[in-house]
Amino acid sequence: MVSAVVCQETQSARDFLRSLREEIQCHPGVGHSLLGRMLTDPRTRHDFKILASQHYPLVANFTTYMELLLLRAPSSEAKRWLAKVLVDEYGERSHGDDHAASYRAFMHAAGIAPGSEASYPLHPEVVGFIREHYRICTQEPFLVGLGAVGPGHEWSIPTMFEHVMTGLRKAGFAADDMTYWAMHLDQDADHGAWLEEALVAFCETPEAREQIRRGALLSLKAREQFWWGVLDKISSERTKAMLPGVAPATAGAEDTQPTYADLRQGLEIRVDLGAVSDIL
Amino acid sequence: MSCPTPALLMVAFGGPTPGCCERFTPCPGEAHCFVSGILGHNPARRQRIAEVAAHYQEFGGYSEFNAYTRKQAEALAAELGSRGLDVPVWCGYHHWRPYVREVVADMKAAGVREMLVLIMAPHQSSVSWDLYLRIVGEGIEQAGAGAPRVIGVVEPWWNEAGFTGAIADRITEASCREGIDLCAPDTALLLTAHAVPESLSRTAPYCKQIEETAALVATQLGGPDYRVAYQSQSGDSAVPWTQPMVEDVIAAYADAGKSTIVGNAIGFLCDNIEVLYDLGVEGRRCAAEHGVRFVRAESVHSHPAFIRMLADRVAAKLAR
Repeated sequence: MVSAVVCQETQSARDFLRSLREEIQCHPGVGHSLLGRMLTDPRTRHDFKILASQHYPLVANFTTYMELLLLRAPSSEAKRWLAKVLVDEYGERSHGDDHAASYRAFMHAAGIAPGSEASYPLHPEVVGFIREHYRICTQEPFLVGLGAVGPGHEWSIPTMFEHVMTGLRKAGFAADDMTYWAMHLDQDADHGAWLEEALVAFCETPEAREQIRRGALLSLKAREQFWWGVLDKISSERTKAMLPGVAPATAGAEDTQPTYADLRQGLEIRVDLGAVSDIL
Repeated sequence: MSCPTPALLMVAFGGPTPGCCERFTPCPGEAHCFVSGILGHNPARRQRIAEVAAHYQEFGGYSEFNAYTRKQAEALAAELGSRGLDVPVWCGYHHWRPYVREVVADMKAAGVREMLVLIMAPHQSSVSWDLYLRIVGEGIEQAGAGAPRVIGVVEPWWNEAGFTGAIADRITEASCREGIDLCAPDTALLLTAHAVPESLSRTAPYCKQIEETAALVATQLGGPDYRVAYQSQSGDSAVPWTQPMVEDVIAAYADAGKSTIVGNAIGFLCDNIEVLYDLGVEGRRCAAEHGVRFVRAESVHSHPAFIRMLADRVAAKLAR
């Protein structure tokens, strides 16, 4: 009788996860027109230079979201998945280069000078994405954070990055230049599978499922905002590069935008570890 | 062969016309192809693409957008000709044939060496103004050596009397036709533009320019009760878009006791499907649900004042 109940709950948890996976795949953050049009629009190295300048801060902060969440994880079981993913983020399966280092190699291939990676003005939606994820991982319940860095990232990134890679190929990037992106197609598929196993144990109650789903959707909402921000930048930056002397609609918007270097200096993170007892 | 005088390239959004665009195999139909070209060829947007493509089916599956734009181009060329300016006017579109890159290649083949660019969007955002400029630049790059050089971009005209006066005229025409007194206490004016994600509205003057256009139109109409609303928001988006939406303003007007609303899409230059369906069909339906009469005034199209204003700006740019 007990095993039948456990089996039913597990089945129900898997149904929930399947349905969440489908919801994520259909989310406009994953299906943003900037990604979907990689197949049909012309894409150039300059476009990816702009994209990289905006995306790099997300890459460089992801590990910290995970580390903060790890601090708040209620049990060793909860820590295990986060720790496994973190080991990859630190460079376990990328020849010792952490993910930010791999990304910098891509940035250099896209035309960003070494050492200047953090010096580009950031669209407000880039800053918004980072702040939102720190908020989720430090102030929301643990399972909301897990939903954001778990399904919200691991189940969306392979699909989004496939589109990006279509554009990279169109823009003439060599396979070596695309290592960061290709690596995520494999690693995130693994992370996603590990995650599913980990999540089964956490989504036994409707409340827990709702928290995981809410975290995923909060992350994807920030992701959709992020892509709009990147599109905004790409549209105007490319115009400036191709038609010098013609003022874009966004002229002057960059004057007040912080660089990633500015953002890092001004970022304060507070973690309330007392919240752990609330989760237990 | 070389063309001694500069040409004018009008850049507009475009709309589907009969004839496969040959981008996708098998062809899913022109309207479907057009919408998926905008939203992206992406399974995640399949439902939204089908939803929007269905709006086109209600009007026969195609759009008159390109035909309207061609008429505007012909009227502008004629107006410039009447001023002794023999300026060939070319039309290129972002989302349908002839694409801007194709037109730039044709211009090169025709010997055009210099061109002025006219962006057919009255209000500036990165996804209209900047994107249109971008595709001109891409067209030039793709055409390679000998492609026409951009000698200038016609300045935006959101607050020009020729534009706001043309809108006011269209609204007056519709009101007179329907026997409506725009300044009557139970009547209101709804002026709409395409919604954009709020994040884009913060980096460009888009909303400010729309508000300014609306205020100038209202002044020319004698000061009716008017509000700006945003239409055609992507229904599956999770992020905030510019507000208020058309439906919210109609509901607010109904609550305020208005019995008649006259609507005009001031952010659009012709009656494309978004104007016809989102404002004309859904706006009217929403008003009817609130017991309010709704009359849509047509877009500026080739209104003589609008065309004269464009000609003034083209001529001024050529004179520099």
